Amino acid sequence: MIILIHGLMLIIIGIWAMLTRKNLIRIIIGFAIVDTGINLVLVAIGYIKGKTAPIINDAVSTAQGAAAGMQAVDKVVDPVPSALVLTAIVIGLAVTALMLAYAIRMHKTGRSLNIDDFEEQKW
Amino acid sequence: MVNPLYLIAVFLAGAFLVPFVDKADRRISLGIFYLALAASVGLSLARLMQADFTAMTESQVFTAGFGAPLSIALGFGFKEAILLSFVNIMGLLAGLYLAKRLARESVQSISLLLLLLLGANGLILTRDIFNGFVFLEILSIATYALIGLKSSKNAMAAGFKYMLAGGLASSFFLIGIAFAYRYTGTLNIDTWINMGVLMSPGYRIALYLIIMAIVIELKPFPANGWALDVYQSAHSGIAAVISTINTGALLFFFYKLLPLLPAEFMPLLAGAGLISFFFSNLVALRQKNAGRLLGYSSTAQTGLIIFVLTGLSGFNLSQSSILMIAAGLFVTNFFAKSGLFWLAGLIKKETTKSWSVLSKNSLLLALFGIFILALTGFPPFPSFFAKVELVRALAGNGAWVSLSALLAGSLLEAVYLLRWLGFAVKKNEEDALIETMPIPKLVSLMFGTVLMILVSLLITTKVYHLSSGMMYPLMAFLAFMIIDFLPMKTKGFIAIGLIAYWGWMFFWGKLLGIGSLFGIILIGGSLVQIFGFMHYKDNKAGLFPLLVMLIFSLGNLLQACTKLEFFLTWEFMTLSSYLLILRGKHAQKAALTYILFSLSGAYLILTGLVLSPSFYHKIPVYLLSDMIQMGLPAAIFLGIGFLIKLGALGVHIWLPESYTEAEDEFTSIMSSVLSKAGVFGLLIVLIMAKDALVANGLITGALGWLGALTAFFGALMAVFQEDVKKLLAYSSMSQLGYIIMGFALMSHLGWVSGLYLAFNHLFFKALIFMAITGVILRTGTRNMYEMGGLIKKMPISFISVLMGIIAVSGVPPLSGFGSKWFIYTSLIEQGHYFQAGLAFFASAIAFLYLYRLIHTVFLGQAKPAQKDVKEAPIWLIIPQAVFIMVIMGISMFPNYITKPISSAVSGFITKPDWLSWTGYNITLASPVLHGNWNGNLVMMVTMGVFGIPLVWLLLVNARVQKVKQFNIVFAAERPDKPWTTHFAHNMFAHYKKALGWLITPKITEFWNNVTEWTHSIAATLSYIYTGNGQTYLLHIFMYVLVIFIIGGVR
Repeated sequence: MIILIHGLMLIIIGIWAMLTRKNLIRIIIGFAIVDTGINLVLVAIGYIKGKTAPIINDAVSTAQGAAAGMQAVDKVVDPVPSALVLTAIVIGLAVTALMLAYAIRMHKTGRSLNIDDFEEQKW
Repeated sequence: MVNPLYLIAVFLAGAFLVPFVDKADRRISLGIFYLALAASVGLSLARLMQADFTAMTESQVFTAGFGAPLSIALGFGFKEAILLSFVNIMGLLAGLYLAKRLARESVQSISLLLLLLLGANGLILTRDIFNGFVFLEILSIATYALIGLKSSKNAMAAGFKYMLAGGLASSFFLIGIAFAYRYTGTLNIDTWINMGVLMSPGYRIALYLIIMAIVIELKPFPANGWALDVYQSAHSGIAAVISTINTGALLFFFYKLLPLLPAEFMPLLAGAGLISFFFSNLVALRQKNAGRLLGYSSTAQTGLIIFVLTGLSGFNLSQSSILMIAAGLFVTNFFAKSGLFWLAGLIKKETTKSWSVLSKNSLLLALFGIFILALTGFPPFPSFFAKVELVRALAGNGAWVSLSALLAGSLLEAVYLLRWLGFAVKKNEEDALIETMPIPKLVSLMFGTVLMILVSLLITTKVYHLSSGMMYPLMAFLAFMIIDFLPMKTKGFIAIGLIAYWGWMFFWGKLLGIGSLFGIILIGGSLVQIFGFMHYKDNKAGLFPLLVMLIFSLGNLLQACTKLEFFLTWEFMTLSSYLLILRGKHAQKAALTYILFSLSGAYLILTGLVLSPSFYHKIPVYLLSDMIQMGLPAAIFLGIGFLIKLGALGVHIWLPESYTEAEDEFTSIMSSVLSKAGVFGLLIVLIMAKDALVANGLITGALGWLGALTAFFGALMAVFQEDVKKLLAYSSMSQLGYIIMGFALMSHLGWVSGLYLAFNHLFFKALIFMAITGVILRTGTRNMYEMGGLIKKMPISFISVLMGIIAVSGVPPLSGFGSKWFIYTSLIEQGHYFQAGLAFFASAIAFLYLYRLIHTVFLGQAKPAQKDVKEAPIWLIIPQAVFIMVIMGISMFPNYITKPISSAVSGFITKPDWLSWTGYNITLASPVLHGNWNGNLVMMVTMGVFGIPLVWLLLVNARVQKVKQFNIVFAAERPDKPWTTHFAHNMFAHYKKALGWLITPKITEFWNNVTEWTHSIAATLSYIYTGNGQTYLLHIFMYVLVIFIIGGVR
């Protein structure tokens, strides 16, 4: 529960930073904070009680089809989400890196890191 | 079945291999790139060719050898195969379009394009929501990076804003996934669907966050400022990819998630979609930047598809028909939008106005026209059928608010798209030719266009089963496009031969009742006037294809059986006539007004058709009309639609403008033939709603007064025109008013008089217009005060106009008298004395403008500048000769035409006993009115009365001393504006003083205000797009929050 609350707080703080800070780098930091918060939330609520680890043994049917799959997840935790959480973390990293790259090139072309200086296209 | 993993493998392998082999040579890496793209197209098409599309589960593939949800499931069924084929073909075309750029740029962009396609393919295939997130992020990251392909400051800023928006959306998505997992213990979409919707509020909120994240990615108004910036500033090739591939993949993912959602989400999403459609189109009105305009249009189309997918679920419609509507809209947008973005990249012009460069390149202009017309929803493109089905679903289920938003939004869309087309056709001498036309870009464009047309034809014939006869207008258009290089006269004779043959084979002797009457008007009337177009010496590109298309669609109105066939034909007619008007030199604005009124009319007609009982197959609409009876609502929608086409008072403002600005020969057809299509429609409605209308009485009364006022004001406005074509245009409007008046009586005599006038109007108005065409051709002006004394130079044209105005004015002996006599008697017979009085007054006014017409043009003093004017070319004289003979014939033997009209009408309203024909005499012996008219006798007498003085004058004339025009002495000063002192200028100034207040352009002012207001609202709304990335973030945040609160999701 504490982790969940922390995670949610981080998300809110991050969004607040994204909405109010004017400096591109700070906005990106805000995004990174949101990302961290989300990962914390995933950790906090991704645990399901009363199920075992997804290791294949006699208890788990490996037949194909949705019904057989449902039978399987009655006993073990669904392994796909846990595998994909890792991907999500990597994706967060990639997006942050790309954002920073953009910030550098924006500074090169626009001579500023203030987001208010990039309003030429509107209406 | 083709394993979908191959698709993913192909893209992944390509993306990783490309940077590696690039060290050797760029040609190798590009080779691998195109190979991967081609392989993906092949794989998806191979899947499409397989016939084993059964249940969804059977087209699933599980990775890692386990069943779902222990593994990631990929679905590769029929829908996926179709969409992937489109997406991957588009990927190939986009790769081709970018070929030059990719050869220059760093190798990463090649990889990125492959990764983008990987993301799109994965998003379409996956049945696992978390896996969907991964592919969504691959797609997004590749897109973000590709926006950086153009390293301008604006592109950078747009990319950054996009990343912020995308980042926020994925945060929502992830949080949603986390909580949904908490409740379900799995992330397989099918497992979720099997579980049903859980009642827990937490689960619903989770689902809400997930679906809203996708909606945000789909760029809904108003949370889409970032997307517009991207469309505006990204490289055109990338913008095309975003608006087609990305949107397609996301929409499909959205569609996949729909079964998860509780039913109460659907109206929310539908509302969001419809709002996005309407407001994006509204705000686009003021947009001048081409790229941004395309962005608005893209978001609008996406909004509409969201609406279709979600909003129709409540109605009694099958999943497949909903998907068919969505697919029709999607496919059209898919090809047309990419084509427009590519065109934008090819001609490199920022503002829509500067697209006039296209007018110098007919190939690109034709492509542009096709894209714009496809987006506007004209047949035969899939969006036309989709919109028809959509209107049917909405009107059939009484969803009036949605229907109005849909139609209003479509109209706004038509405004900016067709205005753009107007800019493009406008010739501007300063424009330079487009010189650089890279072959790969052109190949992509052409290939995309061909594909769109093929898909359109496939859908038209295979899905909607339209008979080949209904496609004749289109086939004729294409055939004449192929022979467009031939000289005008050759094409003219081919057209006359073809139409005559077609008329002979399909119409002659096969039409019954009013069908045969309208057959003569619509086909015969056009046929004669084709001669008028043959006087041109230089080749007028595109004229004959459109003209033939128009005539074929006019004829098809008589062949159409089902509602869809009728509406399709109606739209073909609207489309071809619009493009013909657009050919006029300064007709851009007039054509826009015309098409907007026509489209509004068409929407009303469509709605009316939906509300009316269903028609029979294989029985033409006009025959069917007395077998089914529709209710009042359907009749009112249809009636107003046709009245717009007729140019009734209040909705007439398109008429004078477009008649004036269209090419002169075509104005003749518009006035004499095209307007009769509206007459035909109105008559059909009156027949089909006869019972309801007679029982009500109020509506026909109003219609009668509308006709009377149209006749009166049309005549009055004609009096004060300086422009000869405008005068005739208002005169046409006035004459159509009489026809409406006759029809509104709902009596035998009334309909006979309306139809008889419709006939006569064809002949005399075509006669006058053809003659005036010759005059304008020779004098080079339309202002009557700049002409004069042409009687000696153009005697044949003078005789035509003289005959014409005698006929129009309704004095004996010519046919016009008969039609007026019929109208007055039928009005008085029914006791409509006031209408008869007003009609009579309007006829009196007609004398004024007709006098002005003949006097200022042909009589009086000749203008020195026109002393070398010759008679009109023979090609214009031929139709005049035909029409004069017809008028003389009808006047001499009116029975040959009044009797068939009466017997046709008696099929619907029985002929009263007191109306009878004896010899050449028509006798009326109604209880309230007695009268008779013998056209033959009147003609004989008048000819005698005319002939004797003529002989006398000829004898006397020999002794007269002839004076030359300038045999007089000038005195006094030369005025500043000499033409204002000419009597022909402001000829009826004294009447204007007395009656001018009646024609202050109140109605024009009203429509101008409507335009002004709409544009102001659009401008005000567009200020929400401040250009600030954080504001856009706030928009997204508020958007999700507000819908959450409105919807009461819990």
